[in-house]
Amino acid sequence: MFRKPNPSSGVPIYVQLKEQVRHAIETGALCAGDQLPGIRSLAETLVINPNTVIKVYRELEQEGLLEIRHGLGAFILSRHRRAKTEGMRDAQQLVRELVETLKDEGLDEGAIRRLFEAELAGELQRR
Amino acid sequence: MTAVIETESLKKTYGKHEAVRGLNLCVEAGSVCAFLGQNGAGKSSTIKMLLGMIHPTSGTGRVLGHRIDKESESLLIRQNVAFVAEDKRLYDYMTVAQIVRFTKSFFPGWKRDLEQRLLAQFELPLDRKVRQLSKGMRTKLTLLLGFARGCELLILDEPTEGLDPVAIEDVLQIVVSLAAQGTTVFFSSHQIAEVEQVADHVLMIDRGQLVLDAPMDQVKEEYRHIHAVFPEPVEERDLRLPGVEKVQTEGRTVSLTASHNVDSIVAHVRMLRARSVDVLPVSLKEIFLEKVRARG
Amino acid sequence: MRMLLYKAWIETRVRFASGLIAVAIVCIFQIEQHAWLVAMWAREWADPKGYHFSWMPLGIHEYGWYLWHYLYDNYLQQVWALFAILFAFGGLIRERSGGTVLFSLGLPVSRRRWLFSRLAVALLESIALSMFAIVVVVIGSAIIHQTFSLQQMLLHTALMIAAGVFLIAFGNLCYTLFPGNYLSLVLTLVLLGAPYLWLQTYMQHMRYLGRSTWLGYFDFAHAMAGPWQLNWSSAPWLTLLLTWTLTAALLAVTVVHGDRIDY
Repeated sequence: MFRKPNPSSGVPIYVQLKEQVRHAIETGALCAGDQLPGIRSLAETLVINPNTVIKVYRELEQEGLLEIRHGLGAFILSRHRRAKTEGMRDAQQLVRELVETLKDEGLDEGAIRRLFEAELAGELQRR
Repeated sequence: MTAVIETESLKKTYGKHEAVRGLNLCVEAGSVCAFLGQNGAGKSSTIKMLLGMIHPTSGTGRVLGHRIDKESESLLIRQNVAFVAEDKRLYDYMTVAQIVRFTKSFFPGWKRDLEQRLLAQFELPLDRKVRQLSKGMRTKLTLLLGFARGCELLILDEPTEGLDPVAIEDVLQIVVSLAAQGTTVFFSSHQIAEVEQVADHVLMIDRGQLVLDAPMDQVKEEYRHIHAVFPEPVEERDLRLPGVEKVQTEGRTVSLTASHNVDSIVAHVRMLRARSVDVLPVSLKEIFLEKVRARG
Repeated sequence: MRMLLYKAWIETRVRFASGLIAVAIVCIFQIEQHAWLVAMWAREWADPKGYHFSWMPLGIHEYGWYLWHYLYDNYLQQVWALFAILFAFGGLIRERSGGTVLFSLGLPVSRRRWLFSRLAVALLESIALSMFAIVVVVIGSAIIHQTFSLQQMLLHTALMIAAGVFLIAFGNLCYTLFPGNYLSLVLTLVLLGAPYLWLQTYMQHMRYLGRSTWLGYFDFAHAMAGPWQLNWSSAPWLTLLLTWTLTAALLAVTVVHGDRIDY
């Protein structure tokens, strides 16, 4: 269900994996009550550090996306509504359109990525 | 957290050559810790000192609580540590089955199921002599003999050297699987990609000294390249701030590498009236190259 | 421990088999030569102008002396000594050139145990080799219808081994100290073999001439051979004691040196 994170990108693996879980929930790939893979099996499948998986599950639990039932595993919580999923789909569509527009303007992928990252970093600053 | 490996100003000198120059290491239980460095940086010498194969010139250390510089305690270390050396040669007159039986006899916690699984996965023929195995097969066999020992600490010196990408992934998967079962893994490597993939802590060594000791996530989250363009050329000394590891100026363009404190560095750069400021993530490879070159 | 012995055995079994063949050849050759040599000595002894040595009557009439002289005082002893040294060849230093030393040292086995398990196998193989020689001699002698004292033969074998442990310890120390893999073997054989063989020949000659020299103290071959008639009182106890002391000292040096080596 999950893709192997890219270890050489500057983004920590746990952030990448968290995004994947969040994305899976938002697109409906994972529904309320679904069980996530066990720590060992997910670590083995993705060939990543098991402590990373633990960290992801723990943080997602704190964010209220899933709950860890001891001895049973991690389960998706039902708080997330379909609306959110749709909102995400819309946002994805917006980004896709924007990227295509920028490409038409002659910007390459690297430049687009830098613009996004600079903007997000700036956002962080303004906060 | 308890430390399974600790060293205190560990030094090793060969004649005039200082291989290890005052190393203070700490590896915590349950982690997968990567020991990153170039060839000849002192990785193997350090590991060999941990296992009593060479004697420290000065300094000391403990592995699983046992002193590394005492022969009697070193034996206890080797009972509880599975070690795979950089040199993956084995007794070439034994068959695969013989060397498995030989190694097994020394480890009461031997994992027979893992042994069987890996023999099949690596396609190792039991009745073939070690001398008739290819280099890659021999490396796999040596790793099998380390993994199956069932020890609480696994020390691997360049475990994936000479393996093809498929085998490397297999090996990393076993490392991950053992780590998930509570084994602490300490492995040396100069393959940055595999370190980034499975390690949760990085120790970087250069010319016998530690140049980085940090959790992997911290490295990824806090190390940043800051790229700024100013209206006027700026002095390098204006940018000497806490957290700045390296400054490169090229006319009005400045590149900074920061290890932490990124937000206030960016604020400072803006205060110097930078026209544009880009903050980019840094890969471990770039950090590695910078650390190694900075001292060169 | 069993596995360490097993490893040492696999490493030396080809040498051991070669040793058996060499011992068999030496023993069979000497037994086969007996009739011819005795006939020649008898001819010389009867001829007033022929060679006359004081040992000739013994050689002609005592098969037991013949066996002792040719086997335990000369050829069997030399071959046995050569193989005893060869059996002891190996160890962690040699494994370093073979690239397996870190694998061995990664096992929970102390350097001393590595050393002593290997030496134990070398000693056992040496004992087996000398026992095999007895079997060959017993069968060969029966074929040429000669009788001898088996007890004397066993005593000489025991003396050869008891003194021979020194060679194993000395050879082993040399392997630890010398560089290279086969170079160290050659150096050890030359360093031990040349003075041993030269002194043996020289001192045997001097004894026939009835002279003695201080070089006799270094005649290790003679210590291993002992006198022809070996019993409790004629056994060279002092020499043996000295040999064992030296052996213990050599082993102690090897252990201390071995513990200090960086691999």
